Amino acid sequence: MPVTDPFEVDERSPDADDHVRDDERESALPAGLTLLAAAVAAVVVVPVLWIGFLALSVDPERTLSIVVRPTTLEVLSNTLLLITLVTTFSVLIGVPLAVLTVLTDLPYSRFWMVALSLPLVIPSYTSAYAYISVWGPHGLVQSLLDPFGVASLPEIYGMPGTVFILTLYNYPFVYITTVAGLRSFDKTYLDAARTLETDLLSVFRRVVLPMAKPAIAAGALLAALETAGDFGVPAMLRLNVFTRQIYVEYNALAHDYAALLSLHLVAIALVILAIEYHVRDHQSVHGGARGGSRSYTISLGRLKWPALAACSLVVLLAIVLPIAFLLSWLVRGPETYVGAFGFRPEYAINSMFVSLLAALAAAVLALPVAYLAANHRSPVSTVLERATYVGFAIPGVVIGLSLVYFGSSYLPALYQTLPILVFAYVVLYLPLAVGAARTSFVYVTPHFVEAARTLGCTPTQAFRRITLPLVVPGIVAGGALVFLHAMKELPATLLLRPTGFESLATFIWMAERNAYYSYAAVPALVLVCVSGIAILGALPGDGRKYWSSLRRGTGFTDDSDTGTGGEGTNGDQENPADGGSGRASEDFRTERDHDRSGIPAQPKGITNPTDRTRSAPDGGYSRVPAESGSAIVPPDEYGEATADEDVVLELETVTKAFSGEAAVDALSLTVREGELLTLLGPSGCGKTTTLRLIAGLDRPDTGIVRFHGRAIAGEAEFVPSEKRDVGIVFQDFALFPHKTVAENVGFGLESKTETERDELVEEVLELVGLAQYRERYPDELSGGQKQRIALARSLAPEPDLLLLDEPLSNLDAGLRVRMRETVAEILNAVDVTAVWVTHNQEEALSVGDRTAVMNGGSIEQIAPPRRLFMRPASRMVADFLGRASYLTGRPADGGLETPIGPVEFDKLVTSGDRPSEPLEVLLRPDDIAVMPRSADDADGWIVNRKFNGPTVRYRIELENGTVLESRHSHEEWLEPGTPVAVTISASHKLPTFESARE
Amino acid sequence: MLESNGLSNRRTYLLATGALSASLLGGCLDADDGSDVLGDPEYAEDRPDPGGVSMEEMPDLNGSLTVYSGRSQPRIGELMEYVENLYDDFSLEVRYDDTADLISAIETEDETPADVFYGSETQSMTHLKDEGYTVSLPNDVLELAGEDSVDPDGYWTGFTRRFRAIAYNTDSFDADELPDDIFAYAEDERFRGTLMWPPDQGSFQAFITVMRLLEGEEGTRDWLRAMVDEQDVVASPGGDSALAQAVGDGEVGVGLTNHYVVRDHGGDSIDLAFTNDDAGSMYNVTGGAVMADSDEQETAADFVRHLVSAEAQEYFATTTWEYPTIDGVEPLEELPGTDEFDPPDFDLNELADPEPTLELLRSEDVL
Repeated sequence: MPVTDPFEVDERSPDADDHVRDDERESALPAGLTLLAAAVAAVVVVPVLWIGFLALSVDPERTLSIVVRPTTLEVLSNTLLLITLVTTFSVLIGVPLAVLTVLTDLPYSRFWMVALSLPLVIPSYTSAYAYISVWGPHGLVQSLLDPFGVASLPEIYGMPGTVFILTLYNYPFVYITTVAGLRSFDKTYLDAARTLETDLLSVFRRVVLPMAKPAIAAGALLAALETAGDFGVPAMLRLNVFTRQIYVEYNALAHDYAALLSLHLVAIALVILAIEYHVRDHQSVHGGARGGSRSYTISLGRLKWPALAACSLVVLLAIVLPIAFLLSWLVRGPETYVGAFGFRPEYAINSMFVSLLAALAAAVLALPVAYLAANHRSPVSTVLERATYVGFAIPGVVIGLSLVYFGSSYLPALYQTLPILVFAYVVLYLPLAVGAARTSFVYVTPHFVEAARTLGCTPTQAFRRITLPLVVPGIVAGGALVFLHAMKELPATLLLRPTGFESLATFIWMAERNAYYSYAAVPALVLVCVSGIAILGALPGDGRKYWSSLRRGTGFTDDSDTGTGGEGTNGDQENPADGGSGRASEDFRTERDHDRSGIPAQPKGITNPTDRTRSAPDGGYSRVPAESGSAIVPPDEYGEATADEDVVLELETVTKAFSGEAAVDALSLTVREGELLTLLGPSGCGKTTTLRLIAGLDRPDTGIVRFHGRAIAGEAEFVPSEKRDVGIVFQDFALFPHKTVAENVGFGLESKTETERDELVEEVLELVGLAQYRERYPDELSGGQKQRIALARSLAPEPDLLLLDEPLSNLDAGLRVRMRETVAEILNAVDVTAVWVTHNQEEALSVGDRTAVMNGGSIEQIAPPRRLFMRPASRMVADFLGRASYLTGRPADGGLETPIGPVEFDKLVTSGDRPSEPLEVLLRPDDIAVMPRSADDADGWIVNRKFNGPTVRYRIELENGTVLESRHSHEEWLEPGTPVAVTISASHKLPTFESARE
Repeated sequence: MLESNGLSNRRTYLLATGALSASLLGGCLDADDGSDVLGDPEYAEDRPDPGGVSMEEMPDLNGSLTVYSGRSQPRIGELMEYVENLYDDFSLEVRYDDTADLISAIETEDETPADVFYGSETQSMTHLKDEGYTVSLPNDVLELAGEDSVDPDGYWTGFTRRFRAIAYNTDSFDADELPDDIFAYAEDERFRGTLMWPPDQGSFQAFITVMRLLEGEEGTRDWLRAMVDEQDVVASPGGDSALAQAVGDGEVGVGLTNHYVVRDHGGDSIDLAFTNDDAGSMYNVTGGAVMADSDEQETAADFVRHLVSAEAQEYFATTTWEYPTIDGVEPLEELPGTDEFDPPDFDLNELADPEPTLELLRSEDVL
């Protein structure tokens, strides 16, 4: 099996073309990208490995004494308890706050979103100082309460205080990721759940939480790792955890000791990563095709005030209190002589500069790791992604020292320069960028890229025009998180900064170290303000919305406005069969014909609508089914169509296997000019894979694909998707969410001038009846509208062949039927050759000129719909198209002897020779009639009755156990149990199959 | 003993004038050579000219030096700039950081860029000496400072001395009712429930180390236990400065701390007492050493020499409220003279191994 290109190896399972699984195509790791990601991971992990190296150099006896020290167990249990409690409380605070600000009508939710994320920017060394001063023994709070007889407050030292402060400053990790999660998932699930559940609480428990779980887990991971590695707070609050032990040993100049203790931290980090990996859901969370970002509002009602109070309390405790503390010192004024010591604006500029560099570097380095983790899930990509997280749990001082070692030993020219400091930030905070980028890569469904490629983009162009713009908000968010962490990072900064380089963090540290709090106030405020601006970038979702409204030249539209506005207009636009589109189709066609004369167009072969005939030549061919009774299809009046010159597409014994199992197996197929071929088959039969092979999105293992007689895929050649004149409409529409309707439709028209493009877009939009929506964004459209835009987008470049992959499956039932007609009309109007994949037989039969029934990777039969129904080539085809029952008969004189009496050969389709073996006669429900009879004269009795309104369907069991179905007018009403005689009422010949049983 | 009105005046003065007028004042004082007066003008004024060797008599400094400083910029930044500005062809890069950071960096660095290590205590300097990172100083540098402030091996010299002291609230206690024996504080019922100490501070741990040296392991353990069990000593919420604040505010009557802390913290109601000939009045020194990796060892030694000059010592006395290490410069008159109490005899190099002290503190649940 010649797989020439290593990048094309695809490990899908054979049933991967099932639509549900289509999004989850897993492919082998691309070598170049994997190497790049591995390099990034290695660069980040090496400094961590250095700790192990250092720890190994400790004298074994000493190592033992450290490990078995009686306090080690206490320290370990304290550390684990601290991590567990902080993470749990962070989730308990972060998730409800996220739900409040995203899903409810909480007033000023945008303000709260920023304010509730802001604790992330407060350095823990500042907040811990503030809390000890305010809440500690004889602190501000106690002295205020003293007159009321409160002699002491709950102890702030030890576990309770440490958990409290770390939770207060780490919950935003959970908050921010959960906000992102809640914003991205399909809100229609919420509607659905609310109709099923009476209790809002159980809606959350059973729907919201499970769906937000990956986001919550991602935030909890960061909170846990940050807690594990926090140096300042446990040290100041005297909680014996590993970081405090490291701190004490470090200050006692026992670095080997500190390194050994750091190894404990690494181990804990690995355990946390493993736990999160198991909690995280493993399905891709591609943006729902219908969901979009429509806002969802649960009315708080009387709960509004408690909700506001809760938000205010958190902001008060986490932000207002420490800042007020610093301000109070500022008001007291400088109390002592400090010589040359004083804050300079350059410190702020220094901080911003290095942090910005770190954010950029982290964003760039995160790309390969995140892309790999999102798009090529495998043990390798998982390990690479996880590896980047380890640095996050290691105290900055350890990473700093490690880089002192590497820098001074191997890169002395860079030692104590900004690049190495920036690199330290990258090692420490890369997971923030990786996580954000990974999430946004996951959001970009492969269909976006594939759609772009069928619209003429090379892979590189598709990345630039589609993937990159879509992931930029996520990358910016990750960069913003890195930025604000770098702004407040202290230990590594102190170790690695150039001598004489002061930042906000080092200045605040120096002031607080000497207890000159008044000097710390101004830089701390600058730090909070600058980081607060960065928080805006880190908040999910806002960016694109502002960008959209900016481009549209209108003011910012609130979610709710868009929602109601959209719904209002959706109502009347939903009917696709309105006159507008019909008229538009006419215009479009003439315009296009017109167009062709004006533009030096490529030969299109679009026939004049008047003499073009939609019905393809009758017939088709059938391959001999391998099992379940071979068909007896004699040459008859329909005849076998011979391949002629107007064949557009030809597949010749094409095979495509995934993981060794054939998804498409020696399939041959021709599509003729102007015809609409429907590919019908059950889930997993290979129909989508066939479509992808035609589109050039997959490459066949063997066989040849010819387009206008030229091989476009085969042993030697492969024309990529963008070079084929093929358009595709996906089940999920794959409309580019960052482009307007007009931009989406015009996407494949890059080569045209702006005027031509505008005209074409206008025409196509009129054709689909959505001209007035040209400036809308996809998330503001209804499902039916999206469908028509997707169609318009594929039609605009006038493809020679249009492929539709279950185009109606994502629509609800009523709309489905109406859209089926609309789409068929549009396809007729532009007279494009089309292949339409569906699993819905009614759809296939009603729109197709010919229908190919697929099963197990090959075509069972291909024929015009009526012939397919009347002359099924196999029982599989017969069973798949409508209800079928079978009556076995033995050949006898001039006919078959059946349980309901003899059937003459004249009424049967048989092979030319007189059959000698028993045959099975295909009976459709309307081929037979039943009449009540006395039990003695009856053939069988009615065992079941189904009333459908106009008709009623009876199930009859014959004496020999055969079950038949018969459809009658609603006027004929028989009770189950009635003995009946069965007669064949069909006036056409009945297909027969060789009996497979016996 | 200390005159409390001296402290009180100082605070009132600063609150009244503020930093701006202080710097304006500084600007007017020494206009003849265009540079500001060195150090805190409030205390630098009205003092006799310092004795000792002036910087002018010392060798000129040339080239550039990198200093790793465990002392922070607010304390010595002005002095460092002063020395740098004395010479046109001399530049000074001072890396201010935690002592532990600097020592770790030096140990980890392939070749340290530092020429001089400026320690805020002797432990770090002894540690560097023991590990072979520093070189011995020239004798003419070593002999400038008093013998009790210099490394007997000659690898570092002291710039200032800082004493452990008893900080007390003047409303709670009178100076003359305070014992001059550190063990009395663990026994006297008057101090029960009103004592504070900062066990996570390096200077406190050095004090315990000296107690171990002088009184032995068990004697120290008994003292710690008595302090915790009998006297209900509380730990400072935020090092020495918070301790001084707590004493000044009357939240506790007595705190074990460093003498210079009262310069900045504790308000008007705090004063100092010293014990006699026991660990309670032990001292440590800040000082400097020259790095073995330095290519500029001579300049580095001359830079160290500059910090035991008359000007530098006067700066320390008036600005950081520490005790000079040379003859000829007196400590601030707000502080008791060294003849008014009797520090214990011990080898400063013995402070370098804190591990037994840490073990002791941990085993008694103090740390």
